[in-house]
Amino acid sequence: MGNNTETSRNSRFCDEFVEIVQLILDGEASEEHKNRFNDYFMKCGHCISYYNLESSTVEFLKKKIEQEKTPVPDGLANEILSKIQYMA
Amino acid sequence: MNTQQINTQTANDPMSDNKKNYSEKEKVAIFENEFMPHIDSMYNFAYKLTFDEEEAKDLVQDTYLKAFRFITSFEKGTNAKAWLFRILKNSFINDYRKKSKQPAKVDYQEVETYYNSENTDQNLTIDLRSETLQNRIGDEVTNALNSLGVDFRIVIILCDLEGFTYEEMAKILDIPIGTVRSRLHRARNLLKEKLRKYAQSMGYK
Repeated sequence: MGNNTETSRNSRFCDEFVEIVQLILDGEASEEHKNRFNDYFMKCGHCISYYNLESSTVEFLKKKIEQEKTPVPDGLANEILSKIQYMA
Repeated sequence: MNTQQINTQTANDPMSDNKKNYSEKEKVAIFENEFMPHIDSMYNFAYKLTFDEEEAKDLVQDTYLKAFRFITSFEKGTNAKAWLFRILKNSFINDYRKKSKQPAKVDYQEVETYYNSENTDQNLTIDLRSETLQNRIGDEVTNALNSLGVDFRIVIILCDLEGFTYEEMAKILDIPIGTVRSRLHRARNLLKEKLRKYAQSMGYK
């Protein structure tokens, strides 16, 4: 299973695992990806910690970006709709 | 407005191969029921691209007017949000980016080559599970996001905010799915790198 069995804290994970984690977190993983993910997950403590960090990071980023949405200015929707009525 | 351009764009869109025969009443109904509900997301996207309220308003308005003009290329009941985002993105690239005060475009081909050749670096991982740290990182996420090159900013917004799938993003951006995936990966790493530096400056390791 690639180089992910290295126990050093500074070890690098398999590119494959990193890619699969991204697909899992983005809801894009196939059944095969999910099976591969479980294989890694069951066998490698560092993989578990990488996944936990990665998922909490992405979740945090999503939450912050959602909070920072810029609200649409009042009147823009009506302005557009009135132009459309004119075009129709 | 370059009508030839948008014709070409919509003609190349798999979602809009066949022209529909809508009555004027149907066109307005589609516009109101399927297009207008996305105005919040559209405006936020436009603002994150231009950083200017007036330009964002103009961009959204132009996008909606184009959408109405080419509504026969849109199949009722299909993915209106992706269709609209694609028009907005193309309008931004073609009409707005030239005149905006945006910094020079990131050469993402170069960055992606770099990404593809590097080993994935786990040192970019940052532990954001600490609630104290989470609370202390306020505007930093927005600042970090805004400082990314526009191509990276776009994939983060489309995926992490708007929840588009890779396939939808590939259609919106006219790039292969593999490029969506690698660009998103790189964009998140850049964001994490900025946040990690910020956390370190506050004494977190």
